[in-house]
Amino acid sequence: MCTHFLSAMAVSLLLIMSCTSSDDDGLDPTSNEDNATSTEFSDCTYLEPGDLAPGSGEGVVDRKYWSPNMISPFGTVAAFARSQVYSPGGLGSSSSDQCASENFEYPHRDTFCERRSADRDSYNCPSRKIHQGIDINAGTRAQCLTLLDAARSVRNGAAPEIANVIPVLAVVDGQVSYIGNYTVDLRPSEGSISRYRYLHLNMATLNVEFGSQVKQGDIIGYYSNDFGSNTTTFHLHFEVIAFVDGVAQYVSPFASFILAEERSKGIDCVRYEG
Amino acid sequence: MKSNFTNNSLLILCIVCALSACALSQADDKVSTPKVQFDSEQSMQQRTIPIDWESAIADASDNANRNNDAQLQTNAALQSPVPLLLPPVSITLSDAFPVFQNFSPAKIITDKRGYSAVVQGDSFAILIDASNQTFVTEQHNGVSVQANFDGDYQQLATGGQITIGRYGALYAIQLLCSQAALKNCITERMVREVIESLSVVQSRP
Repeated sequence: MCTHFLSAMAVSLLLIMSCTSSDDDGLDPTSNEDNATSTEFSDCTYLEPGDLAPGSGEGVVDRKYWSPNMISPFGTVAAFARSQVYSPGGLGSSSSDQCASENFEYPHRDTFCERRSADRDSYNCPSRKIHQGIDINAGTRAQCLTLLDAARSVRNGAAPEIANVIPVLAVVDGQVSYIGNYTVDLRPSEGSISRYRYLHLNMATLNVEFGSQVKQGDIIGYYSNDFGSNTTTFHLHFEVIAFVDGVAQYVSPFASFILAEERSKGIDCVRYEG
Repeated sequence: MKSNFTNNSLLILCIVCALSACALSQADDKVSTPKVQFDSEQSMQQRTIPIDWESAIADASDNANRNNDAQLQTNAALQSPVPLLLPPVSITLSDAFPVFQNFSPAKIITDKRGYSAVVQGDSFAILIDASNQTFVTEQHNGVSVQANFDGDYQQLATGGQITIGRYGALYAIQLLCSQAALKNCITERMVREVIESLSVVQSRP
């Protein structure tokens, strides 16, 4: 009986330990990779608005929900707001591996005021040489590698549709108000947002054209690395331009994006404590 | 036999207790962990701006009498809740290359708060976003938005932007380089010259 009792205690202890450890490493990137296209997620974490990557400029604490009702542009697909320039694969990183695992891990990081070389204005960044949007990686390392392979195949003549791996969604109801070389603008049907701007979609396979009426959640295109006649790393650059006190301004999408991630994925996002 | 039953019961009881403790611990975590709570009190107030249709109608009439070459013919059927401002079909811009720019017919969408237009030039596009709504910050609460104004120049990654007020409505005028490589193809003077060229081509809500 003593043996059975000890066994029971051991099993119980193991259960309790496994429960605790799953709380501790709720950000396990491996599990994120496995779940990237499902609706199961570890609860996400975020760094404070304005907490930019080290050495990437001076941020601003903007906790305003400029777009409180939007959904994540990636819906239920894993998405990670992070610096494109100062993360692996970017020009400001020592690593050239844009598919590095850390690019697909929380915490979300604000890049709205991240330093750029040329003047760009915004509602509230301390500097004028700033990013004007946030960068978002989507999917998993495995999907990133698949996309790189697909891009190679497209360059060798394959149909561009083979690179359509991760859909990008209309964050609100609205109409497509501009399509540029590597830009798609969405004008919301109501409110004071002037336009949502999506950069670097697969422009050869857009699901919309100028004037298309879209509902929140409709696919407008696919996650890509299109930069006009060039390419960038696979990421979405996402901007929000709003009329503020009568003037059209670039405002930070970061707070709204975190809220949208919670809504779209049914998860809780908590402040990252390091 | 009885002893086995007791032991098995004990085992099950312990496992159930452990699972319960685990569930309770997670439930506690959920309660104690704050969800994202950026400053909900800073959710933005919005304001709808009244439009001075009388002035817009008068100006549209003047433009028609002057046989203005704005793109009236292509947009006669549009219903916009703000006066429809558009550039002419061609224009000379001091800093543009080429200086004389021909514009494509405007592509326009309308909704219940305004319209959005795209006019493609030879080397850049003009984007007009018009609205009768704006966020109002605490600093501007109670302060009216001016009916007519020309805002400051704002530099963009591949262009420039100025917001103007006309007849009460707000118009964000963006000029974007057509070629991604031409990051500096737009100047403030070009945007202001485009703004000067705008005229009302529709005057009914």
